Amino acid sequence: MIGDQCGAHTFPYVEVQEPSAQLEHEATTSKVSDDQLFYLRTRGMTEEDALNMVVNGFCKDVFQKLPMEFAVEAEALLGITLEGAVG
Amino acid sequence: MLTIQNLHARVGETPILKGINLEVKAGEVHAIMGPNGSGKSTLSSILAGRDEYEVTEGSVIYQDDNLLALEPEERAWRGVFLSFQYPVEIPGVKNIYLLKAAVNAVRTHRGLPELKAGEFLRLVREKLKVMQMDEAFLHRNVNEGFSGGEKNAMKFCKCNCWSQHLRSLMKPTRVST
Ligand SMILES: Nc1ncnc2c1ncn2[C@@H]1O[C@H](COP(=O)(O)OP(=O)(O)OP(=O)(O)O)[C@@H](O)[C@H]1O
Ligand SMILES: [Mg+2]
Repeated sequence: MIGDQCGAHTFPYVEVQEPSAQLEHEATTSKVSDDQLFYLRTRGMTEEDALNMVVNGFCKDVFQKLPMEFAVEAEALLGITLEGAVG
Repeated sequence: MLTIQNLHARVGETPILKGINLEVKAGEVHAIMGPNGSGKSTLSSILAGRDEYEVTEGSVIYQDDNLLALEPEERAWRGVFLSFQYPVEIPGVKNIYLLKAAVNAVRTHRGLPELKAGEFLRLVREKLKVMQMDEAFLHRNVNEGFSGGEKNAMKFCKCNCWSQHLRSLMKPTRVST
């Protein structure tokens, strides 16, 4: 999520009927840090290029851990431009 | 080339710099020393354009320009280079990718053609060799899992990839401290 006008609401909910199962629910979000953006800008990238690089990098890391069919869809979603999204 | 006059800066309500004066001429090397917490990193961050520090008084003139009025990337294009005391990690972004983007961003804004893949590789290989760094480092994510000394060596490789006029290197030792 980008900008200060947005929010996310996640309700972790796991129903378990098998007493021996081990389950975890992970609902965490992480913010593109100002440190990362600033670092890239001091290397000559514009704010927008910097944001693209951080978001793409982060997503690539995550996509690699997804099964193939999800990964393809996720890549396509990422194609949505981030233009003007810096809050 | 760089003239800092009576620079005062604060973070929130806390004053940190209280009247710094410094004149750096082309070709000069200055070492800024002081106890922990005295403001060395703060000064360096202000020169690079970090906006959490508010300059309340004084001026910084760099090559006839008011440095403080420029965006961080504009400073980079004009040859200001800051190394970080604690380099940030960027998950999923390889060194080589960042380096190429940085070199070409700077070149474009200086009216130079972008380097092609082959030319770029030749350039970084040469810089790696000087620092005796293995090429494998290029394919690792930016600063992820680098030892302190490796981070430092990598930062020299990076800063030698385009010409700069003003370099501010924090604790620039190969040995990590
Ligand atoms: N963002 C911030 N918020 C609050 N205080 C800050 C912030 N940045 C710096 N300071 C304070 O300003 C002072 C100067 O910090 P700075 O990092 O510039 O010191 P330094 O000279 O680089 O120290 P060191 O030798 O330990 O690296 C410190 O007291 C520090 O706690
Ligand atoms: Mg410091």
